[in-house]
Amino acid sequence: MKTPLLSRRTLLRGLGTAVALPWLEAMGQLTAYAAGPDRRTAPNRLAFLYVPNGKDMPNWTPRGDGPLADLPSILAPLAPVKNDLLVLTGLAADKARAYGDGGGDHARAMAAFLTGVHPRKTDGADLRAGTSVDQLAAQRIGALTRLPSLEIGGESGSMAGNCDSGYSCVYSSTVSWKSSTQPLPKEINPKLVFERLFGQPGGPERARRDLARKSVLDFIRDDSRQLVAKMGEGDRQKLDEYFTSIREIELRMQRAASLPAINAPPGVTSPKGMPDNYAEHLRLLCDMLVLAFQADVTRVCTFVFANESSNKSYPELGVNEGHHELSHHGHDAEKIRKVRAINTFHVTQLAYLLKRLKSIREGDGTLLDHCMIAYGCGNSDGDRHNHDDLPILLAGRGGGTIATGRHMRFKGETPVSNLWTSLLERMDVRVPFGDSTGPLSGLTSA
Amino acid sequence: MGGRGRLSICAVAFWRGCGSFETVFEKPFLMPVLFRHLRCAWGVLALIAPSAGAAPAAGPFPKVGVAFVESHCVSCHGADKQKANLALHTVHNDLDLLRARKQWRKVVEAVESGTMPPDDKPQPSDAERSAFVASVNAVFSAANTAKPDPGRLTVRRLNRTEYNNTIRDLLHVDFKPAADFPSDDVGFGFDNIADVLSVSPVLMEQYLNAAEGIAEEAVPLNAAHPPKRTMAGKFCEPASPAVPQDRFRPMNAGQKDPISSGPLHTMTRITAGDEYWVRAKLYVEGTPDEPVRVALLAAGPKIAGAAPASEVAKFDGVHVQKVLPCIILKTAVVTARDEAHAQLIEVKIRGAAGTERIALAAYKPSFGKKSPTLRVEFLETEGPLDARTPSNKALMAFTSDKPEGEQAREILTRFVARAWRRPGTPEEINRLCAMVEYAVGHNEGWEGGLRRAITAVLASPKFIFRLELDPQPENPEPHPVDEFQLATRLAYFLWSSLPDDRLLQLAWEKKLSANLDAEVRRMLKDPRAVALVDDFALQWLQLGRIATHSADAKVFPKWEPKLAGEMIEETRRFCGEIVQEDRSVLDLLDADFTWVDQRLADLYGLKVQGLGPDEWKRVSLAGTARGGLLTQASVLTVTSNPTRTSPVKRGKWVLEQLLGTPPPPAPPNVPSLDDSGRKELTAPTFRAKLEQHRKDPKCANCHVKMDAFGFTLENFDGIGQWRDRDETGAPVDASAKLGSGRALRGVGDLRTFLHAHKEDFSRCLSEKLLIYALGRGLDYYDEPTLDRIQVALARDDYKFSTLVREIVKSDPFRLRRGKGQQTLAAAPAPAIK
Repeated sequence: MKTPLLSRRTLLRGLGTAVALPWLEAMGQLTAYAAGPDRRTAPNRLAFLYVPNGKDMPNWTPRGDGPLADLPSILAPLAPVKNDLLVLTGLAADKARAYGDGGGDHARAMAAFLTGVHPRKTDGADLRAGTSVDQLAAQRIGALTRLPSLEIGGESGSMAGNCDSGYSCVYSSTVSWKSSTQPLPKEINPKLVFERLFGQPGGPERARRDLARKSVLDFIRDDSRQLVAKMGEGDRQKLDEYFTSIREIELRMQRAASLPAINAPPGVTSPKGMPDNYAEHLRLLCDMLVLAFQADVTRVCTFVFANESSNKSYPELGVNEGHHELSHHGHDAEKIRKVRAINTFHVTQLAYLLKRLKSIREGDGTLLDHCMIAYGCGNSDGDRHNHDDLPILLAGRGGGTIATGRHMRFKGETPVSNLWTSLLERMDVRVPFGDSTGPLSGLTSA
Repeated sequence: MGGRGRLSICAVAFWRGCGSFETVFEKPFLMPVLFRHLRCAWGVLALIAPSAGAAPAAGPFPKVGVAFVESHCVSCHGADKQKANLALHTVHNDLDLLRARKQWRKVVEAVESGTMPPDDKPQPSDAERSAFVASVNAVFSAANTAKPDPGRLTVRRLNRTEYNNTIRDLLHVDFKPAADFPSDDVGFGFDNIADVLSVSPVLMEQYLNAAEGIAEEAVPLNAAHPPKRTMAGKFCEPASPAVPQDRFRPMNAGQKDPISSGPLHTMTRITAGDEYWVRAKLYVEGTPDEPVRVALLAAGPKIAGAAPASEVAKFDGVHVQKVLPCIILKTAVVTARDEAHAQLIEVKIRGAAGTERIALAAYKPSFGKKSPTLRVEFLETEGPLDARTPSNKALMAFTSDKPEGEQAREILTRFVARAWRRPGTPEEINRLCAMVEYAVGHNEGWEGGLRRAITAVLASPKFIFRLELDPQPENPEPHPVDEFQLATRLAYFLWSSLPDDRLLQLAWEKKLSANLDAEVRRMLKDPRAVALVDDFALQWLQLGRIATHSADAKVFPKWEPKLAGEMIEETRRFCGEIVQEDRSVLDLLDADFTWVDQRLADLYGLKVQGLGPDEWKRVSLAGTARGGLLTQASVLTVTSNPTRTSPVKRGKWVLEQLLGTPPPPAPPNVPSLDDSGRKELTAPTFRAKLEQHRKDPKCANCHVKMDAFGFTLENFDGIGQWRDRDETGAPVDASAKLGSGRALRGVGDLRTFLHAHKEDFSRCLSEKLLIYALGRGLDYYDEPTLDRIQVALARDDYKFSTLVREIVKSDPFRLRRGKGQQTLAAAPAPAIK
C-alpha cells in the first residue's frame, strides 16, 4: 500500500521537545548508495572528530578482531554504544610523513588527515594542502541544507609563533580545507555556533535583512569592477577569496529563501558563551553538533577537540603538564598514565555525543543510525610521531550501510583515505580522493 | 637541513624563487621573452648574474664554488652528516647562496683562515682556496651594488586588532566588533602577515554583521529622548520643611516670609552652546489688580551675558539676590486663574556658560497695587535636545540648507575619505549616493539609506583590505607608493589603526614623504603607539602563550591565573617606556629598572610597600640579579613547564627571540631532550641526564648552546621567583659551558654575553620589526636594508626611534614593485609602459 508520505511529518523527539523535521520523507530516496531498510527515511550525516597527539595505543587497540568484546581501557567509556562502533586498526596517513621536509609531524598529521595530501612546508606564504573529505561531501550535498558544512573546535587557533618546525599554525589548527589553498577556520564559541545554526531571524525579518544585504553585496560587486586593473596578480588572488566568500553568502541567502525556515527546537536556548571548563565546552559543542544534525541544518561537520600538538593541561584530571609535552613520554610510566587519562577523557566526550545521537528517534531507528562519525588522529604514538597504525574509530550505521560492533584490522599500509573514500560513497560522492587507492572492503557486512 | 633551518625565515620564498629561475634558463624558447623585457628584468638579472651582462649565464660560483664544496665540505656538511649543524649541499647557484648569506659568510671565513677543512682531511691548494673565496664574494658584492629591490607585498587584510582599532578611531566608539571574528592565522611569528590573512565565508558573514551593527550605531533612526529635569514647586528653593506640600506652591512676593516670597529657583545642568527647553507651569490665584508678569531666568555667579542691574531691579521677592547675576530667558503674562487651566511658560534656549540654576521671578507690582499670589507646579529643563555623542555629530554633520541628497553626499564623502584612507572618486561617491536615493524611494528613509551606504563602505574590500591601487600594478620597477598609501602603511605600522586627519591632510598636500621624521616622532608619542607594545612586542617575545599557561599551584603557591595578566602588564609597561621615552633598545637586555604591582614586588622579593590594587610603580633593580626582559616573570614563565623550569625552552627563546639564530627542529624520531624520562639515562639529576644525553652527537650541535643559556637562568623558578635551591632541594647550579669552551656563571654572565653580542640582538630585533612593518617574511634582498639599519642604530646609541625611522624610510617600506621576477618564466608579458 502506498503511504501518503507528505502527510506524515515525522517528529523528532529530543531535548525533551518535539521538532518538526525539516527534510521531508516525500523527498524520497536521500542517498542512492544506501541499501538498508531505512534508506528512505533519513539522510546520511557525516562528521569527523579530531583529537591530537596520538594515543596510548596499547590501551586503545582492542585485542581480538571481529565482534567487539572487552573494550581496552581508553575505549571503556564507549561500552554503552559498543554495538554502534567500528574500530579500525592499521590505517596509515602516508602523506603526513616527512618526505624530506624534516620536523613538523604534528602539523602534517593534521593537514594530511582529511586531505590525503602532503602539505607544503611553509610558515607563511603559499599554504597548500588539498580539499578535505568533508568539503568534498559539502560541495556535493551542501546545497540541500542551510549550511553546507559546520567547522567547530574546542581550542582556538594558536595566536603566537611558528607552530611546528616551520609549518604555519593553520596546518595544526584546522582539518577542513575548502580548496587546496583555503583552510576553513573553526568556530570555538558555542554561542556563536548556535547563532550560525539558528540565529538568523526567520520569516519576513530575515527576508528584509537579506534584501538589504543583497543590495550591499551588489554595490560591492559594482564598485569593485575597476579594482582588478589596478592590482597585481597576487593581490587579485587574495581578493578572489573575498569574492568567493561573497558568492557563498549569496548562495546561502538563496537557499534560506527556498528552504523551509529552521528554528531552534522549542525550549532550547543559546549557550551563554565560552564555558570556563573544558569538558563543559566540549559537551556544549557536542550538543550543537547533535542539534545541527537533528534539525538538518547541515549534514557535514568537522570538530577539532584540540589542535594538533596542543599543550593544554587537564587540571580537572590531575594532569598539570601539557598534553604535547606528556605525549613525548619516553616510556615514563607516569607520563603514559597521564596521556591515557587525557585519551580517556576525550573518548568520554565522544561517548556523550554518541549517546545523545542514539537517544533521538529518527525514522525507523535513531539519529545515530543515520550518521557516520569518524574519530581519530593523524599521529599514532605521540612519542614516535608515527603515521601508520592510526587510532581510528567509526560510529553509526550510515543509514544501514555499515555493519558495526566490530574491530577491523588492515594490513600493508592501507591509506586512511580509503576509509574516507568509502564514507564519501555513502554520501553519493564518487571522486578520486587524496592518496586513496579505492574504498575499504568489508564495511557493509561482517 | 641545516641551511634551511637557520634561514627558516625566508626559506619559503627561497625555494619558490629559484625554481622559476631555473625554468627560464632551462627553456631556451623563453629567452626571447626575457630579452624583450630586458629593461624590466635588468634589476633582477643584475642580482642573479652579477658579472654576466645581458646573458643570464652565472658567475663562477655554480661551477667553481659548488665543485669546491663537493670535494672538500659535503662529507661532513652534506646530506648525510651535518656537523656543526651545517648542510652545504643544498646550495647550487647564486640565488641559493644569497639566501644563505649569513651562514656562508662564516664558511668563507673558515676556508680563508684555513680552519676548514680540518687538518686531518685532504687540503685544497691555496689557489683553490682563493678561487672559492672569490667566487662566493663576487656574488655577495654584486648583490650589494645591485639596484635595491623592495620586494613584493601582497594586499593586506585588516587583522582583528587592526579592525577593532580602525573602527574605534573611525567612529570614536570603543566597542570591539571583531571580538567574535575567527582568530587570525600567524606567519613568521606575527598575525599581520599578508599572505596568511585569508577571508572565509564565515569571516565574510561576520564582516557583514559587524558593518550592519556599526552602521546602526552610527546612524540612529530615532534620536534618544533628551534628558529632562523637572523640579516640583514644593521642592524648589528656598527650601524648608514648612513649605506646604500642595501640588502648586504658593509664591507671593508681597509677603515677606522667606518660604513664599520668591523667586523660586532650582539647580540645573546646562552646557554652553547646547539647546534646551526651559519651562514653568503656574497660575494666578484669585483676581489680581493688574496683569501679572513673570520672568524665567538662568542664573549662576559666573553666568555669561548677565542682564543689567536696571532690569533685575524690577524683580520682586526677598530672595532676588539669590538668583543674581542672571539672564532673562523669557517674560510672560500669566493669564491662568485656576489649577485646571495652569499655564505652561516655555522657551527654547541655547545654554549660556556658567548657568547653574533656573528661576522664576515675579515683577514688582505697579505702585499701590497688591502683589498677586502665584501657584507654581514645577520648573523644568529639558536637554540637551541633540543627545547624540560628539563623534556621532561629527560623523553626521552636514550643511542644513542643502537638499537631503547633497547632505548624504557630504557625509559619505567625508566618511569614505577616512574609512578607505583616501578620498573617494566621484564615481564611488555617486554610487553610494544612489544607494541612499534608492532607499529613500523605497520607504526606508534617508537614515535607512545612509545606514545601508555606511554598511557598504565598511563591508567593501576597500575597507577590509589595505588596497594599494596602482596604475601600473605589474611594473617590476620599484616605484614609490602614493602618499595616502604611505600614510596608511605608517599608521598601521605604528598604531595598528587608520591614519589620523593630520596624516591624511599631509598626504593630500603631498607633504608626507618630506615630513616622515617629524611624523614618526609625533606618532611615537601618541597613545596609539601602544600598539607597538601590544601587537609587536608581545608577539615578538611570544608572550601570548601565557594566557593558556597554567603553572601548578601545588609547586608554586604564589601562582594564580591573575598573576599571568600582571606579568604581561609589567612587560607592557617596560616596553612602553622604551617606546615613549625613546630609550636604547639595548635596555631590553639589561635595563636596571622595571614596573611592579604589589604582587610582583612580593614575587621578586623587592621592598615595595603599600601599593593599592592596580597600582604600579617604577622600581630600580640596581643591586639585584634582575634587569632587562630576560628576568621578567612573563618571559621566565612562558619558557617553563607547568611544574618546573625548562632550560631547553629558555635557551631556545634566547636563541630565537634575542639572537635571531633559531635552532633547527629536532631530528625526527628523537624524543625531546626536555622530557627524558628515558631508561637509558641513568644520571641522578635532570641536569645530569641532560648532559649525559647531550653526548649523543645528533643532539649536541644545538643543545650545547641552547642548554647553556637556559642553565644560567636556573636561579629563577618556573614562575620567575629567585631560588637558591632547585625542586629537589639541591643547591642551584647556574653555570654552563658554551661550545667554544667559554664558561658562563648565572644570569649576570648571560647578560654580559648578550651585551657583547649586541649587534646580533639589534639585528634580530630589526628583522622582527621589519617583518611586522612589511607584513611579509624577509628575503635576501632585504639584507641591505637591515645593514643600513644596523649602521644607523650603532650611530644613534640604539635609540628605538632610530630603528622605527630607518624602517619607515627604507625602500621596502616606501616602494612597491610588480611581481616581476618570480613569474618571468610564466611568459604572459607583463604590462610595461
